[in-house]
Amino acid sequence: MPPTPPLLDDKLEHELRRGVIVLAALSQLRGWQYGYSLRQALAARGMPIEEGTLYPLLRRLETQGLLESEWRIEEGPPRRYYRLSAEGSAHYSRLTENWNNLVAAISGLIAEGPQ
Amino acid sequence: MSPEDVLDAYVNDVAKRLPRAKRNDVALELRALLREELQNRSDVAGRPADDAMALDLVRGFGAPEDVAQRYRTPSFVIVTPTQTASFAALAFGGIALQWLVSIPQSVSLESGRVLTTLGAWWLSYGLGAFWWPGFMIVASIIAGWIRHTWPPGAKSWRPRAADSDTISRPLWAFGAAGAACGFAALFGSFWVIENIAPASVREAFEFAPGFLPIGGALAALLWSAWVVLFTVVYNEGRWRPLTRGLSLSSNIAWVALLAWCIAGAQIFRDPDANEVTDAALALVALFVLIDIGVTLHRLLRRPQTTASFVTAGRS
Repeated sequence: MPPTPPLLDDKLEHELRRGVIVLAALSQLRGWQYGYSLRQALAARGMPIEEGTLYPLLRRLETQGLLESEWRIEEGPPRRYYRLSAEGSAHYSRLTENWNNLVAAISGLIAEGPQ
Repeated sequence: MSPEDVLDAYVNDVAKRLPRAKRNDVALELRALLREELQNRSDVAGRPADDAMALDLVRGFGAPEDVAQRYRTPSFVIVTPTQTASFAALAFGGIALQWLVSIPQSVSLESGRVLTTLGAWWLSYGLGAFWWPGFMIVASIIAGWIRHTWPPGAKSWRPRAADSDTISRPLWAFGAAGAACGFAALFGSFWVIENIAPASVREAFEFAPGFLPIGGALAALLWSAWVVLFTVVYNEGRWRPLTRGLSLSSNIAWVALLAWCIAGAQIFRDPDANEVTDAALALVALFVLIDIGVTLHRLLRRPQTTASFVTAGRS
């Protein structure tokens, strides 16, 4: 079997991560965060997300009603802070449950192999 | 250009592609975030930010068109990915067809007139042919909006037919009755012209010598073949590859015969009667060509899911 090209590995990993970016972002937005601090928090927890992906995502999630936001002027420049809305919290709970089921199922599939 | 200028230029490029309502808000937030990112890079590098560092940052962020697209919530799609190839083929095919039809009529091959007539053709039919893709785009926008507003959803799907080769016998019987009426009308009109119509009409529709032995015989042969094929398919209740192939061949032969009648043969003695008949035959030929096109399109699009395909794929 020929070795897997690194480019294909990157692509497959990118596809894998893309599916969980929303859940990862929502998990850190149970409290107020602004874009940069959220990216730092995710990176510190082993889930780096490109800025070009994360910042627009926050806006889209807000438009979809999952997040609420407000401008704050504290130290430094004005920053737009986000957190889960009530609707977002409900979605987050369901997503978390689905994620746990998915992890259990995939772990079983990987551990047991084909039937 | 300072790093701040690079960031500002980039943010402006993104913002101008956003809806007016959220343009300023997004621009303000994006500028602040990029500044913090740049500051972070500067801290990591241990040197002040410069324009190269700022450029590297925004290039990594993405092309302004892509970034603006990411900020937008998904809207309706004009042409879906599955339709793109057929949309392009239909658009270019429509233009090419109009050009093919209009060039022989408009461009003169006389010496010294080729360029003049070609120029006149380009300014009339040549450019005019582009109405077709424009019309397709407008139709696609309306269709896309309808799809977006009232999405079809998976539950709205209904199977058309389990086996597309199966025929509907009542429908075919109805079609056979229609064809019989057509034959009766055609041969009845010959009888009327021969026995009842005034002499002038009789003279106008008198067959040219030499047409019936060739054209008439070939038409009778193809009609007979069609009746046999129709009867076989009707009895079997379905199409088979052989009968499909014979039907396609018969249609191609019909187009060839009609083309010969229109372009080469004189059907009636009277030129006016010939002209009218040629126009009618051209219309018939067009319908047969469309039928051939549709049949070929369906045959080519049909997935091969038979056991022989799997066997062939393994070998």
